[in-house]
Amino acid sequence: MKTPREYTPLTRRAYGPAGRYRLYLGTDHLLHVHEEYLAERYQRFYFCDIQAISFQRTSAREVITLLHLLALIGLALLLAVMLSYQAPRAPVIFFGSLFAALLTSVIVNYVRGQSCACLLQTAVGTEQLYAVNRFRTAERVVARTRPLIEAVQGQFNPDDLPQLPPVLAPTAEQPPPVPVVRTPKHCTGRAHWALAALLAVDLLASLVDLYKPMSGTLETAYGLLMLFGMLGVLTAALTTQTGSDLPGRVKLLTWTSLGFILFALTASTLIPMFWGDVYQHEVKYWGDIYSVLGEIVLCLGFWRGLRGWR
Amino acid sequence: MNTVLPTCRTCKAVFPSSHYNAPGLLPCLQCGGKSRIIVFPALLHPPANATVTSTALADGDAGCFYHPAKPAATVCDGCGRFLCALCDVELSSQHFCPQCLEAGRRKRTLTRLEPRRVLYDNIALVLAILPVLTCFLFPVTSPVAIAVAIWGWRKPSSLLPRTKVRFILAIVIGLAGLGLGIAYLTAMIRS
Repeated sequence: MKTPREYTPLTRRAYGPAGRYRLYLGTDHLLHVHEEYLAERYQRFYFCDIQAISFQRTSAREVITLLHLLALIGLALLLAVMLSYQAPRAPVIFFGSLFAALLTSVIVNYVRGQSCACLLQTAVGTEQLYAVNRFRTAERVVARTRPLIEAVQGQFNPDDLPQLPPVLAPTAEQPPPVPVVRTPKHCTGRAHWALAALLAVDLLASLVDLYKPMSGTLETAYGLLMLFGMLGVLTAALTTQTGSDLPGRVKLLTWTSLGFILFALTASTLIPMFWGDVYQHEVKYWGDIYSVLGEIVLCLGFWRGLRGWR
Repeated sequence: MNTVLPTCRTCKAVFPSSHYNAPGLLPCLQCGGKSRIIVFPALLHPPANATVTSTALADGDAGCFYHPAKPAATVCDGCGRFLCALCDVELSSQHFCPQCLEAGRRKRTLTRLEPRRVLYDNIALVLAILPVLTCFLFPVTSPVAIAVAIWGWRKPSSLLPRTKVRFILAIVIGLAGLGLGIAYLTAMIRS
């Protein structure tokens, strides 16, 4: 006879900040499994302890789609150049497969629905369930677990709310305390302006390079200086914008800039390995076109998002 | 214990009670981020801290094994000793004395206390496969992969359903790697 399973999977495996995560349903608790490949870590949330489950919309889907689209545009340009210059078959197949994989990834990411962050609160603290990262999954998890939790705890009665503990319940001699509201830290956006300025400088340099190419040494020195400068400013921008009141659009643009730079860096390393000697000028020309187009979009985005921001 | 009300993940503002158990997504009053909050009675009535009454032992009452002056409240499901309310630790509707709880944690018989488990099958598989990149490592890593697979075969694995296929794969690949390694070394010595 088949023994009944102790745990039923509630979600698929999802990637989080430090590996893969999955949520399981036990007899009297939820099991959040963090897979570290060589080991597994477990967090158990007993039904009687769960105080609240909240899921909040995140921009993860949009960020992933945008990064993928940038990479797809770059790859499409690359493939167009390769096909028009009758490049060898092996790199065409390699980059074509990469393009198809990225396109599939974009479609899958879109079809999976809006991304979210799921927080589970107990008396001990609030934990993020990284296994639940889409609204559809969250709704499914809530539909499965809510009746089980309510079977243990009973129904939540909104009438109980005024009878909150002394900290929140107003009394005759004590005025009602104002709930503690932590305001997000203010970000002046200086690092973002610096990033936009560097992108604008690189945009000008790419335009100049299109008409009058730089010499080898000057180009290498300029490239290294710009790369380290941009990575430094990007690190500062990403650090200061975390948990700040900066508009979401600007935050998204900063992440997009990171993707844009990383793609440019990867492409500029990989492409010369395949046929840098044969089509050196063409590769450089299309690389400049990619930089100019991407940087125009990013600079305009930063200018629109940061205009009037102090 | 003070009630900690659910807060917005982005701006840390407390959600108004009108958002509780609402069917759809509602915007945060401060940052506008859309969210849905489902609250349960435990939010307003958190489990009270165990208050242990120290009533004196009356004539004819059974005493606690660890505190003979206190009356027994329950029996340990591990060792059968009488326990007072202070010594009783409840875990998934079972009662344990501190000693049995510690022994269960140490001997890993109480799986619900385990926060982490090592996956020996994955370690064996990694050891068997990784040297593909550097073939000269086969003679070293293949025997280790086989040894880890045999050693970890009976060790407690994941809490979740898991087959032994990784162990078998690790042994097969390890044996193949060992064979290749020996053949390579023999050829080297002969040449």
